[in-house]
Amino acid sequence: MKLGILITTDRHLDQIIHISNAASAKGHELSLFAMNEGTRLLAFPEFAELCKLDNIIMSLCHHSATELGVDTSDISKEIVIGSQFNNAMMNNQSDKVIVL
Amino acid sequence: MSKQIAVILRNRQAEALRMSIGLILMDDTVDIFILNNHLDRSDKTALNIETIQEMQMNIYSNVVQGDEVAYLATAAMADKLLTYDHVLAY
Amino acid sequence: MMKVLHILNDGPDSDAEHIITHHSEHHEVEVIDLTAMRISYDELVERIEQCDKVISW
Repeated sequence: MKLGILITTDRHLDQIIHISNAASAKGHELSLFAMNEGTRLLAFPEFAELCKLDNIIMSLCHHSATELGVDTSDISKEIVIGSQFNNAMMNNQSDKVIVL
Repeated sequence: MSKQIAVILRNRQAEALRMSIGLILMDDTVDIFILNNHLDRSDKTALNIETIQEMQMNIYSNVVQGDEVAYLATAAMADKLLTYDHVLAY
Repeated sequence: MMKVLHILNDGPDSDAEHIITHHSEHHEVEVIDLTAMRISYDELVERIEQCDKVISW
């Protein structure tokens, strides 16, 4: 399964981590896209480190991050500082998408 | 392959509308649903609503409101949501 | 009949309840409340994979 996780809030960090780890361990392909308050999770190392999981693509909405003053200067190069196009790609390519 | 995507507007309509427009960038079909609420017609949403109309995206609600929003009873909305590949409540 | 999974991100939700009620009349519906998880995350991922449609609220 290709699982997309659309992250629009900063309220569900534990669930994002647990679901991502469980899906990766089962060999599923994962795509995470953070926008709006979801970009605030970048401040948590355990969130940013999800980019090291197998078969994962992580991206975020630069517009949201800028609006919310989220510092993206020091994040892993494996996390794409992107746009809504990355969200469109995630939705187009995923079998299932959940929102957290 | 093209996808059918439903976006349910909840309490952050401006961002949800912005996202809805972004979702058409892969040529997927995106329809918008408003459940138990009115479309927020404010300065924050005006441009996005105009774009949505220009792109001929559908907006449905179970609350009767302006011309750009088609009425759909809750039961019909529930049925329709299951015809989409993805349903994104925002 | 579809297998429909509703995920409640922040517990019970009145908007979701309206839709879930209608889906339950015609489909096999499972509701998972992330604030009161009774299954493991492994099982949650399996449910997401196995359902026909998933809606997060």
